[in-house]
Amino acid sequence: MTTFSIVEDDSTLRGNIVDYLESTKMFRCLSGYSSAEEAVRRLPGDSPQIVLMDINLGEMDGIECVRQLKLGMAGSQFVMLTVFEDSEKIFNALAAGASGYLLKRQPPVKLLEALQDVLVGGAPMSASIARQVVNSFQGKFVTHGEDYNLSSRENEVLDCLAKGYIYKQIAQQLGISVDTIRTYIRRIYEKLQVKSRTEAVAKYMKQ
Amino acid sequence: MKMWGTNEGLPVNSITDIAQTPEGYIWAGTLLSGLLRFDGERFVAYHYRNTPEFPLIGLQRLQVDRTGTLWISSFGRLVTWTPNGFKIVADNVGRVESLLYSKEGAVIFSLDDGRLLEGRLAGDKWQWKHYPVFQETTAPAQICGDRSGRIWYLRSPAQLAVWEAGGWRTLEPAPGLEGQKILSLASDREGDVWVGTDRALMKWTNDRFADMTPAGEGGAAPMIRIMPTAGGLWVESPGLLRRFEDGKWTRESRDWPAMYSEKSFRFRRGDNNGGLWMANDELGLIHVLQDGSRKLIASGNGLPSNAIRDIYPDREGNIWIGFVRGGLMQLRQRLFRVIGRNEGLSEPLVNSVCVDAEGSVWIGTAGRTVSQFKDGVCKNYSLPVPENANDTVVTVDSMNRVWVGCNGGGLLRFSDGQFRTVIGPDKLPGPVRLLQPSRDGRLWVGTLNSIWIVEGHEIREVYVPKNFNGRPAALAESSDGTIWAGTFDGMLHRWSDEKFVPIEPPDLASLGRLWAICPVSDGSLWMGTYAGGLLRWRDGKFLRLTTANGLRSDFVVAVQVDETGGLWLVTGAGVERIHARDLQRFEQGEISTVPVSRYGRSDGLSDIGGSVEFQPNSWRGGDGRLWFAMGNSVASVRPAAVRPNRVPPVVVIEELLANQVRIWPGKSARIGAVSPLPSRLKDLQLVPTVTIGPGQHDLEFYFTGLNFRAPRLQRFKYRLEGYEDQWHEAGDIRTARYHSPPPGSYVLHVKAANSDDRWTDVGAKLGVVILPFFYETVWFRALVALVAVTVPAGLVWFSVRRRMRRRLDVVARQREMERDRARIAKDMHDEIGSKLTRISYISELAMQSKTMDGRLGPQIGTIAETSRDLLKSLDEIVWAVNPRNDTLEHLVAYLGQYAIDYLHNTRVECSLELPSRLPHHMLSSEARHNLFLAFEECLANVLKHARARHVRIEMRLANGGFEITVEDDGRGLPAAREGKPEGDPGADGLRNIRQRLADIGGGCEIDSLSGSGTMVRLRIPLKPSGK
Repeated sequence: MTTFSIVEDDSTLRGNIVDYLESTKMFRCLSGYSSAEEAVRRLPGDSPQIVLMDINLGEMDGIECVRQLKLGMAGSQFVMLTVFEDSEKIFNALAAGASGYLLKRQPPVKLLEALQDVLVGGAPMSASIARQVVNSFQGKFVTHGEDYNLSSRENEVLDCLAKGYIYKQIAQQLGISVDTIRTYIRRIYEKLQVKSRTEAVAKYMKQ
Repeated sequence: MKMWGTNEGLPVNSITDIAQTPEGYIWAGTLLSGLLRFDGERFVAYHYRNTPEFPLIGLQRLQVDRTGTLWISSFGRLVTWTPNGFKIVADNVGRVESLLYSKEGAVIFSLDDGRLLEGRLAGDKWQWKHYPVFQETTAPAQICGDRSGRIWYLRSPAQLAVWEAGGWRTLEPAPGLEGQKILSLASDREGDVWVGTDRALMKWTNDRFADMTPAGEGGAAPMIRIMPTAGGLWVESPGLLRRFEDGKWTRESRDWPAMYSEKSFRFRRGDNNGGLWMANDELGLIHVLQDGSRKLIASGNGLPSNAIRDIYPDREGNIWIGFVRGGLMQLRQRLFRVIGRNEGLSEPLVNSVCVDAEGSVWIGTAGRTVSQFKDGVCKNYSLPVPENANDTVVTVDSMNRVWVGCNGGGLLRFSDGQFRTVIGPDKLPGPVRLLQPSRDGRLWVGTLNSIWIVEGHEIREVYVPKNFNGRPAALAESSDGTIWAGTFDGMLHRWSDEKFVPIEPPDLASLGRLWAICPVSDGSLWMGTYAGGLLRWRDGKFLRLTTANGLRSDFVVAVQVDETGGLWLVTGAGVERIHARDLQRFEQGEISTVPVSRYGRSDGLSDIGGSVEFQPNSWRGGDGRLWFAMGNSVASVRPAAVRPNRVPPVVVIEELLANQVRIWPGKSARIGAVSPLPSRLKDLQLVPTVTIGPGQHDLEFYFTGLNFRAPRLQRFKYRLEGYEDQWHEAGDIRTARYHSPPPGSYVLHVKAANSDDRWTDVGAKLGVVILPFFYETVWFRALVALVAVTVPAGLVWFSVRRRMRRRLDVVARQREMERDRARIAKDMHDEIGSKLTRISYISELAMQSKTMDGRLGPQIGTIAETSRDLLKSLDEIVWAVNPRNDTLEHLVAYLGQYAIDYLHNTRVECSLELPSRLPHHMLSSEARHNLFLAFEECLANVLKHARARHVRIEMRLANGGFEITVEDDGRGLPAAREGKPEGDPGADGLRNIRQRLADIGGGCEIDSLSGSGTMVRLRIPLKPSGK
């Protein structure tokens, strides 16, 4: 059974999601929190396999919460819950270390499927997310030893995604399998996360 | 002083020097990152790539002269910085060592080869002259300048020389020093010259040295070093360090190690608090405080390394430390003491805190342990409770007995060095949350579900909530012995006649839990609530204080009253403090918002979230010290020692960007809008004004507040005079954005408050004039009127005037809407979105529920589906409304995603071709909206009418415009097919598309051949905008 914790300020919805997931007998809920502040303090002690994290919380949002927790909770996967497909917020969450996102408006069955997809394949990359990734890697940035610039193949995949190509088209164009594309996407996400962490540290480099 | 500092995010880099200019910026020279300017939050780097004045990337020395000019020396070049920017003033003058003397229009530097460099300002040019070194020497010479511009030079114990009016002369023997060996030389902050000899401390007065050595104790000692500080001198003799003040030895640093007198230190520097700082690579940093006490700060206790280049005391009393290959660090006074993991606490999470009569701090944790902290030592007790017990709560009663409640472990008491169970978990079910001893020797215990009284070994339940929200959240005893309780629903309860009698605070529904009660000696109570701020109950009346009255957060977890009657709160925003005087003024209606001081990590807290649900989570010690259980630690503060900072920040407007291009200041590092204006900057023009040409301009102002005690707790507000009357509360955001204000003249006002809520009076100002297009000017309107009079065709006049007015009206309306749109988008998203989600979710679950009446299934299914559809529509509306999406990039990304989602799971396969990069273009919401609807119409046509298998969508920039092409391989348009467009449902759609594009000044091209598909091309022109 997969263990999970949930951070969601709407307690009714939180209860519903927990009830639903537990009723499948595939998931067990370890804890539920209504604020990011509380979650930051308590989640590391729970160490669940999955954290479902609402994006819009109180003073601290779910994105900041993931940013603070991810480093110390390498074993947990963070999956964002959101009402709307606000690509900017989703991008920020992915950069902060989230593994994927789920739309709250999906029916519960879809929620379950999507959750399993995220766990198996990692977050997919839509065109609008890809465009933001392109932008974020274009800013000039000095590397300190560690090289997390994108490889040329990763850049090709990213460029195709930003142009709006679907996985199948990219696979044809680059002569690789769809699974390989997923691997590239996962690596792009990892580099994005390292980069955004380093950037946060080195914000003085604005010049 | 204790160490707070942390590496502020600089790279591993060598700091060469540190300085502060009069308006408050801290500057740091580096070897590889140029010159850094720091405002407490952000480093800006100036180097040869962005500042032509700097020849190389490395900087050597920084000095600020008496007029406030910053002198930057870099490999033979001297560059000055004033608020007008950088200026090269000398080249190839040698390597500057230090600034010996300065006054208006004159400076004297010493160079590393021993020469003197004198500069005089003639007109607006500096003239430079070198003077040879007095006499070559291998011994380390001492040099200093005095108040009249003379330079003093100690070459050997027998030889003192003075440079004056361009020439050296020796004083041999120096008048007053006959027969003495001169060991040290220094000038103090007033510019007086002092020497130390083998037996005396002498001061240059009336053309001779006068003996200033205080008489008596200690006798004559060799004065080997003189170090000036604020208010006096530190004078070192072998094994002895004394403070000389007003003709007396006032302090001695006890047991001054003789080794300190022999070792070589990188520097010995006095600060603005009368203290002394010395650094040595082996020892670390030695700090002698004004009172003579000493601290050693080294790599073992917080410094990244002992290789300290220099320290710099700033005007607020902070110390800046520059490291050789280690960056910059700030030391500030630590207000809060913390007990956490580093101090020996075994558990990472803290629930509860109390202090016993001996001064031991007891800490309840999230584990099954209790920790005792006394005299710097932390002892962790593992309780004799079952394995699965956790969450401990501690308290001390009036007989100084320590009690512990434990979830699943019952109630325990500390005696003879160990904890013993008093009430077993079988008799005290449910998690223990609250402990409150009463003066009659009883202990009140709140669990999640009820309240109990413990007397001896007996326990009885005295309160059981009627419903969920009646659960207990707080317990307290007031000075008259009354027991009070707060509950989840926000009610206050008073214990009388063996039961709790509820008292309802006004506006109960907005409070949430009433979970902190702090009784005051006058019989009143202060209370903290979950969402309703602070409440006070006195004589049957409630008073309420919320964020509307100045609190930073309505989430109040703990309340304590200090000796003066001031309040200390732990809230969602950290620790907040309200002074007693301000509370009184608020109560008497003199003020509607109270000044609130806020404390955070910069003040020593290691966590700004307080422990919730457990009590006591705060405590007032017998010595007046206040204790708070924070998330990961216990923090304590001595209220009397925390003085508010009454100096408001200096506000500087740093930059103005129009359409993302900097238009002011024109010169790198020039600052023009500063307030309050330091007296030395009085030549600055008070309100600099920027003029911008006609057109649409998105304005972004960047500003900052210079305050280094707690830079991140500053708050800002701003207002664009001429555009709006209201101030915007910006919080800690240092940017103001305006979306294309109409032509006119404006002034941006910015004010800032420090962490103690002291606001700048006047605020910084920057004027902006946006020029009108010719048709927006008064003379043009006059001309039009003239034309209307002289030309009989009145019709022309009407149509021109109407068009003009319409245009102006539209612009004004758009701007007004802009602000509303952002708000509406957020409200819809937060409010409607989350509630619709709930509806869709609940109906979905209801449908699956087994107890469901089968007949209702389809209806509930419809509810679920409709709410999902609604959410999807709402998603589109929110996107369309939000002004943040008013750019071409957002449109392209959104339309691309929309097409994929729209055609997902249909028989039409979709391929996209988007430009992978797009230049920045603003797009009005009208254009965006119409393009979106036209695009949607195209997709609908493809799906419903075209019978296509494949659609290709291409978006690109072409011919000065933006084009979207939607091309399918379907059966073509009916016109092409049968020659009669009427009656076909698709025809209306095409007319709509044309109309929508025409409305926004664009066009539409439709090409169709029967049986071979349709191509629709939407095109809008793009105005050239910004870069």
